[in-house]
Amino acid sequence: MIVESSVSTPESDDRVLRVEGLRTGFPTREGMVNALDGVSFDLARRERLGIVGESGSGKSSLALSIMGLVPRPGRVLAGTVTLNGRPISRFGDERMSRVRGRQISIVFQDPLTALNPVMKVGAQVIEALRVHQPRLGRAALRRRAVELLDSVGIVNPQRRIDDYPHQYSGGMRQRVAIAMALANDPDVLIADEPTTALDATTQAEIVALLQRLADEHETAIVLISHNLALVSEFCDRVLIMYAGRVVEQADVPDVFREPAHPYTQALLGAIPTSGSSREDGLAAIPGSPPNLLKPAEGCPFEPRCALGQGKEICRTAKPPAVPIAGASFAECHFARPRHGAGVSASPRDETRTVGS
Amino acid sequence: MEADTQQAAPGLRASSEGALLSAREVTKTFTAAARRLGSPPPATKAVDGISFDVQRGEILGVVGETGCGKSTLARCMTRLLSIDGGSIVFDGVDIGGLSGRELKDFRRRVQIVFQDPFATLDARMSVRSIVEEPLAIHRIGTASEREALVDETLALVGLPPTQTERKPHAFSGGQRQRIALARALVLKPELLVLDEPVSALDVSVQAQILNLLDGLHRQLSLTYVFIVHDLAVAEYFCTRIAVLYLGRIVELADARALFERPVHPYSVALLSAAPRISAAPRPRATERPARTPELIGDAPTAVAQCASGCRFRPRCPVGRDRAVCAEVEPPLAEYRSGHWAACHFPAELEKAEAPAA
Repeated sequence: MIVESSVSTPESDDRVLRVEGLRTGFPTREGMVNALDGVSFDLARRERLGIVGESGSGKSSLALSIMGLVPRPGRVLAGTVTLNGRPISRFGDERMSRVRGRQISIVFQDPLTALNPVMKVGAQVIEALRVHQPRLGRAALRRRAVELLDSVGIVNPQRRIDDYPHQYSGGMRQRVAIAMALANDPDVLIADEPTTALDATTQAEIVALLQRLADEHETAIVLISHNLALVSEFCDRVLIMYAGRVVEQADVPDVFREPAHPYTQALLGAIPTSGSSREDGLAAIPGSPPNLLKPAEGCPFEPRCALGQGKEICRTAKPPAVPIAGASFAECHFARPRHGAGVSASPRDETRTVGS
Repeated sequence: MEADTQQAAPGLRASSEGALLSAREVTKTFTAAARRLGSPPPATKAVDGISFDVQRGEILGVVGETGCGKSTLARCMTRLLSIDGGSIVFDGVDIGGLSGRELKDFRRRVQIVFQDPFATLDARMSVRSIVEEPLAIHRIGTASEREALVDETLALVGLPPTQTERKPHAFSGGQRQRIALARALVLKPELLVLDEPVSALDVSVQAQILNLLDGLHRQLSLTYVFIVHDLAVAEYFCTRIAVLYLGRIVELADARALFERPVHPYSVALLSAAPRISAAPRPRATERPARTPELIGDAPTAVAQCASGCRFRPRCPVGRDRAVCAEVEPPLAEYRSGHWAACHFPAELEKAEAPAA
């Protein structure tokens, strides 16, 4: 066990982003869809944090809520987002647009939707620059845009700057989106499934690019992905989301050896690996993802859980955040601290009863 | 062309009792509208001289990246698209010449399931009528026999009989893929072409569908052609795998052999590009050097493919500067028993690594 090298709660001065008790809902005719149901985490400077979950787990809602981009009529119902010590979740649109792109940026899954199809690529990169650097002249903006395209590996940027997005391949479009996101040197980059639409070899290139740029610019990255293998290679710490909650937080090598939450265990069992064979079958998770219209009274994973299904406590009581090791925790009635591991005195979610 | 016919039977084992489906030198070209009057219209060779056999009972995986021709190949095999060159023989009969009742019989015996279960099911039909429709088209059974057959098939794919009057929107992605499977299976086909059947699903649901497909394969003695881009799924699920690159098979081997000892430089790069889960202790991600990708540049589209020689050459670490690779298109040849590769320098990367190992 390598607890000593584990990523513990970042010191307050080292903390670039802090999310506390974030709740986001989307009103529908049938009632409020609780996309986020109280999410808290910290991000240290230069850290690379993975957020893993299946469709509907709330990982994209989390990204949009942090960025202040939740589409109406959805809205952030409660909680705070603090960036560089400033409560950006309370900022109005105008103030927030000065923060967005400058201090915190986002890259989406599909670069085609992020880029304007009738605008030249260069004009879009220049727009991203000019919003935050209005004093730069035309020539300087263009020069900077060429530099940016060059830095993300666009070959022949002087010429390609005048092309339209459809003249770029999928991988190159994502490079442009990354160039725009990093144009103003933000402290935090949220990458929401940045390689999901791409082929394996292109994915490897984009990941290497993100790594290189994050190192150069000392950017902290939140990588949102359904791909556990990608998170395993890219991140130091991971949050596992289920039904709008962080059900486990763990350090990256540890979580693949000793997942603490039954959902994390089930997720790992459901993935084919080189060791598994068809004869043995995969350990599929029975049932379907939870209905966010009707939040569970107890543990949201209880109906599908190998450990807790049907158990009285799991059906009726919200599980506490049980500290596992360092700052790692699992929201499960049956989770126990890892033997011999140092456990931080105050786990993340202090509004809940800790221990059992 | 003569050289091509010499290697006419890739994947055909010595003891073969006749493959269920044989593709030989299959070519499919798409022609776009002319850009300017008088100029020849741009043509895309989506499938460019592909030969392989599908043995009865096997699960043949077809892997490759966007634009490699794998979905076109699936549509050619099911005669949803007609081919421009070569032949596809199913159970001894060339499917290119089929018409009328014979074609209908072929369509009953070979079924296809697509990736997106949200796009393939008619939103206005109930699940029962979706699954029953193929029986009506093929005039199979009486009304009550059909009803029994539909019930049986829905049970087979694990759909609760209480929900068969509901419309597709009431179902999750995984359940819709079960409905699509039921529609294919109700005709009791022999060959099922699965075009990315789990790619749109979450991992927990993907595992359910893979387990279901595995069970059906055994239970119904089916043969699968499994088109997939997720290599972990391909390795786990397939018995043999064909790797496609720009419309050609570059490597064809038993799944295990391919993943343990890939021969073609493209397969080597493709396999190494996929991230893997590692539980081993290691330096922090921020302190590790970024992994250098093996392949530089995006895959060229088939339209702009190189004029001569090996089409992987511009990206190939082995053949980039070699004359033979620039001049001669490598044929698919048997490198080891049952392990085929289209490369002038097969396993060159393997040899390069061997002394260190």
